Amino acid sequence: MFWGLLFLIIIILILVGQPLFVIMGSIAALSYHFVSEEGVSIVIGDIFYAANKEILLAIPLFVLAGQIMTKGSIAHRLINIAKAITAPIPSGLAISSVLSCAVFAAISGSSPVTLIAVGSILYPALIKAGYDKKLAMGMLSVGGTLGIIVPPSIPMIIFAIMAQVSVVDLFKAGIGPSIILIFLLCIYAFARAPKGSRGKWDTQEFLKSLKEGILSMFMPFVILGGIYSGFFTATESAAIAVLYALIVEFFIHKEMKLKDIPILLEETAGLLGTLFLILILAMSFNKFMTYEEIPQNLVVIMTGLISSKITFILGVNVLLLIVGCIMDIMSAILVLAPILTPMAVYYGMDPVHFGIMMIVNLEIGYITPPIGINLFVASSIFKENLSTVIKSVAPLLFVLIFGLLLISFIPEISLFTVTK
Amino acid sequence: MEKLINFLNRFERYLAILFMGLMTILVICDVLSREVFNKGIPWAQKSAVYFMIWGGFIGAIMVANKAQHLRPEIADKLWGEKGKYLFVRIQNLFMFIFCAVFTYVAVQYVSESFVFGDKSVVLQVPLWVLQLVIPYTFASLGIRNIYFFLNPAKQLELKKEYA
Repeated sequence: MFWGLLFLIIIILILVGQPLFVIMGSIAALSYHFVSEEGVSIVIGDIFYAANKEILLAIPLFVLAGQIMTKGSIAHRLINIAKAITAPIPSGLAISSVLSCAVFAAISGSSPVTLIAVGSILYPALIKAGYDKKLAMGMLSVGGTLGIIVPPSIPMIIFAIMAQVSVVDLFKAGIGPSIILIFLLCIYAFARAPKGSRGKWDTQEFLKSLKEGILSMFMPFVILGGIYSGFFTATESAAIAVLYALIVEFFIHKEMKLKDIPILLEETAGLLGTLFLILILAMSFNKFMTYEEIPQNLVVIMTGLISSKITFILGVNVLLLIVGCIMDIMSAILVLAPILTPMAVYYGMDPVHFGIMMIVNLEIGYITPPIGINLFVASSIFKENLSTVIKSVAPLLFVLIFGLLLISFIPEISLFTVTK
Repeated sequence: MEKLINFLNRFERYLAILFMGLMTILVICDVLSREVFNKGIPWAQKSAVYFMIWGGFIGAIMVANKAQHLRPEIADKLWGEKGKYLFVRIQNLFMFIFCAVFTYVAVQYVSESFVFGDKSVVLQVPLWVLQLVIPYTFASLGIRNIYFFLNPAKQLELKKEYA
């Protein structure tokens, strides 16, 4: 009876356009009030307790580092390196767009920002070099999505908090799948290389681009190196990332001024604010679910319906692909990670592997209608209608789904870097 | 009302910058101190967490100012072009009710902390001071909801501007 009523309330709240934090807060408050017979005040206690976690510091710090690094002309620098490296390969420019997107997205942490920054430079260059318009649009739109799987990644931190797994393990586990996806996209670009797309290796050009851009490109490696060697925790590596970004942009690239800092801090507070209330209210509801043993009960129900691990993985992939089409990635993780992770563990999956699988699924949501944000951004910056963008992305969707299946069924791709 | 909103916007903007700045400085100093002198600053991380909490809550208000909170938009089209102002009004009315309830409960919660004299374990600061941001946030959000309820065109304009 209560759950039916709660479902009805959620539908009404969606119909009247409520933000996710109101929906999440209402669910938490009503659940505590009617099921646990505890007062709504417990939600206030929960959210303060939930926010009072040191790991959460990593979110605004990584966001700030990305904001600092993307303030200047980093996109140009990264693209020049990628272009110099891939010049002698057929379809080199298309491959360089994937590589530039992957590194830029890892630094900026934002998929749409990557598409805007790299896409606006490389799209005209790809067209000028004779690449098919759809291939160019598709590669750039899909390349931008790599940011959430290439560590450091904010969705990984959110998953780690909601599913109670190690952020460091998730960052390490993201390396293999990132390489697989980048490799598959490069193979696709290679296979569709237009005639005459092979350039010449130019050592001088390579060294010049490396000199200008190596420090920008180095940031993900500093972070990952620190984490991988056990030298830093996720929060410490985020602090180092901010310090590194400040030194590079202030003293080396000299593309930042003191007056830029308040604006960056304000933007960081805004980005944190977008997530913060939803995250802590979701954590309150998560605590309620744990007390009421709801995930465990769902596991019992699921085991009656699904008998094998393979069926579970396929079923969850289909579910998450559908969810990715209609929900943004953060909301999907906040809502589904605490429910699905115990089921995955029951079916013998490593929770870190499951987290990576979930994030790759939701990454695909960036390029699937109706709310795939990269589709809208691409339509706007490439000045093409939405249906053309969707058609350009469609074949690459199959490439990503193939990658997803590899990542789902070969756990070693994710776990080979994680020592237990 | 417009003056109050403008004042709150400026005030909260400065607070957010201050809290985010202090949080960043503290964590960097702590990490550097640990790596260089082999000794961290014991109170730095916890203080940074509290600055982040304040910054995060204030950031949530700033997002509301720009009508950019994440929300499912699947039902928006049902209201049509003619119903868009009515939709914004109903939306803000519901949000106001939510924020009013949470403000009331948060004030009670913080009052209890004050009466019991609870303190932060690491910093020994009264917890009610640190928790004050919770009722403040919901109250400030509620004020925005009243403002947008009265000026639905303004919210639609902001939503478009920052989209």
